Amino acid sequence: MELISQNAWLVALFPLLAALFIFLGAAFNREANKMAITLSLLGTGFSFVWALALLALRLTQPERLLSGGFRWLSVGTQNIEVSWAIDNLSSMMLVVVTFVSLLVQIYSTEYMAHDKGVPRYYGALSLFTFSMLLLVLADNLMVLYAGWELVGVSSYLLIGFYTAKPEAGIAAKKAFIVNRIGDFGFLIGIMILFYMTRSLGFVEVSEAVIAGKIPGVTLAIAALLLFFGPMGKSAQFPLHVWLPDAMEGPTPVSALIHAATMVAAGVYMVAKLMPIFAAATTPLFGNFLVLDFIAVIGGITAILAAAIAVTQMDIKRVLAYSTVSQLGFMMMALGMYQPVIENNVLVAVVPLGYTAGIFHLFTHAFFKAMLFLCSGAVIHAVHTNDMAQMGGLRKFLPVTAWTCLIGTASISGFPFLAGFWSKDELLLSMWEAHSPLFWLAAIAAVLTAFYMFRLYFMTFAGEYRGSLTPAEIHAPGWAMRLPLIILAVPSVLAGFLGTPFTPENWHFQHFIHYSGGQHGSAAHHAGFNMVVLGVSLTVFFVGAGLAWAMYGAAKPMIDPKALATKLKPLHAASFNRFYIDDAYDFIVRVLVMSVAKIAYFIDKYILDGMLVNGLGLFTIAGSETLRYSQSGRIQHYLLFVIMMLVALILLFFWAPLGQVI
Amino acid sequence: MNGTLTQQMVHISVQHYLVVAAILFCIGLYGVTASRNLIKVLMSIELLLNAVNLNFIAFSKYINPEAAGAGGALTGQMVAIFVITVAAAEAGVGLAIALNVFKHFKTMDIDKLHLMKW
Repeated sequence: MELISQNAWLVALFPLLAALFIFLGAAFNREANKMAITLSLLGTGFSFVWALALLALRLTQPERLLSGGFRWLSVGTQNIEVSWAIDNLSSMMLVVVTFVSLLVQIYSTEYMAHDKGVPRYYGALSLFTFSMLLLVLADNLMVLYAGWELVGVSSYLLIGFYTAKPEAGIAAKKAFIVNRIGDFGFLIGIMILFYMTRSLGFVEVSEAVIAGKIPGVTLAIAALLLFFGPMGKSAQFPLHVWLPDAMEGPTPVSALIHAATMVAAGVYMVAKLMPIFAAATTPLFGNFLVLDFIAVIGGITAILAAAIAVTQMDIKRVLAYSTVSQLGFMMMALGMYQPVIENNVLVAVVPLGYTAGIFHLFTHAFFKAMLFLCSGAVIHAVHTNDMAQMGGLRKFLPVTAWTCLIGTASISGFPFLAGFWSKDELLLSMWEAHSPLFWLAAIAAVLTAFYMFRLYFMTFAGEYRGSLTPAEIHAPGWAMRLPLIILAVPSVLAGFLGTPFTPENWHFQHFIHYSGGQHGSAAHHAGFNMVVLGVSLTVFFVGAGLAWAMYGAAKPMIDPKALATKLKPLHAASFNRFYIDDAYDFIVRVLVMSVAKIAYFIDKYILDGMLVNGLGLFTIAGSETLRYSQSGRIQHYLLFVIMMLVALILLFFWAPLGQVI
Repeated sequence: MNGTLTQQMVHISVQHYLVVAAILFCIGLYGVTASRNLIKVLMSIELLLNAVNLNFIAFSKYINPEAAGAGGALTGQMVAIFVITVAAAEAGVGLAIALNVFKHFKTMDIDKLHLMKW
């Protein structure tokens, strides 16, 4: 234990070493599949064990410090350090990340078996695991940002893994560029904080912020800019467009990166920097705080993505929009707060949904990773993403069907499954904050239950609609089934950590709660609210029932096509993703391109044409003219020298020396 | 008249030397720029050098003559001797070139030697 507590950073080092050796090995032998798989599994496996030990340490010896660091560079009097620290939140994240990563890597051994470039795949996966762990370990903004960007890079590598597919390359670029837009704001936010506080450490910055060392407006702007990072990385509206396209990558990658870990990084970051967000009590306008902004963006994301998911036909896209929607839920909860008002002045805010957001992140990681792996198994079996070509697959893929049903029920909020409890917590936090977003969240939850059961029924229920013969549909082997079964366990049970009936000491809230700010934390035991419970149950049964009536029943009571025709504008808007991608397309094609054309014109004809080429032309013309002064007669040159000498002498004699020089 | 002549005997100052040197230099300059004949040009260069030598010696004699012991500073004279040596070498090389030029072009007219141009 001593060894582990003093070397907590090793948790991130194992996957890094694995990645380095895999890439090195792949340079000599592109077919070194076994080597790559072994190294990658070993690296992540070690990390998983290390993370478990760290979590155990946090649980049993909360007073022990798990931090360290070294100086990276000093500029003037400023030191920039690489430092890490493990608190309850990050120890939980470490376990989730390494656990899901390990399972995904096991799953990939079968899923990727027929692909070329397995070493490249595993190298990138290990690199991703390292980046994510670095991000989680970080104890200062610099390291967090480094991990943040590395996560983006490895995501880029993995989305574009199928290099033969042009769409994959385009999707990878899109993901990277959209993320960069968010990260730019994040970076400026870090710079402002660094400029104002002269430090980067979470603790130092938080202390300075709480002590009021930063003017209110500046802090609000900095916090707003910081939130741009999570908007990109956690796919919040309007920067959510990259995530559905990122589904061009291999499905296990989607499960790991675009469901359980990387997209959760934004939520994690908001939680980690919650003292800064909560301290930004200067309203942006009216009574609108930065936290309200976070909540509203989360709300828009949740409802919008859920509304898009109900009409998509690509199984992975449904899951992708579902992920976006769930991340919106988490953000919404993180933005919930209770104002502390003294003498009619807002002096502080107490976050209410901190635990709920993280709790949902925790449970969501399991069931969403499982759902993605299920979709991977389905795609592996029928070689298509189109749900119109599926149906009736329960017969062929019983394990996948069962785990998918568990995941679907869990995310939809079937009573006593993990998603039920965490969604209940989310709704409760919104109820307690008296936020109107509560009803928005309830509607989004109805849609969640609807589209998830729609996915399940269209894929597994009814009759097979595709063109393959039953013999061609091959069920996945154990390497793919095992991770599904393992993930099903937390998808069912993880929620029991956070029920209103859980004993105090075992409660998720006891372990992870907001503890910043001088106005105390909201570390109260999650209450039991009949209204919220009622809403949450109604939501599930309405959504699931509707899906059953339209897609599940042997004889559909409501014809989806008829309904689609009846609600044509709505259906079209949802099917076309509310034209957001088209709006981006328009912006890029019309606005950006026209600016680019002007810039190109200026560059080509004014800068290059007039200045650069003009200078060249002038030189050519000048030398063409002057070359005729070269007569070749040495006496001419001499005469010229003498004339100049005489001129100079006359100048010096006639004009006072000072005036000339 | 006689007496007056001795009394009025002109004191030779540094300016006199300088004027002579300047005249010599101008003649040389004229010769260098205006002569057509290559040999004349070379001779005019010798004039230029000797005008300079004259300056050196004049300055050496009149400006601070007691600087280094009874005989005065001989810096200028030394430079002049050095110049004479170099000028001898230069004349040798120059004449050799002139000879070769004549062998090649069958002329000494430097207006006709203008190959080094655009």
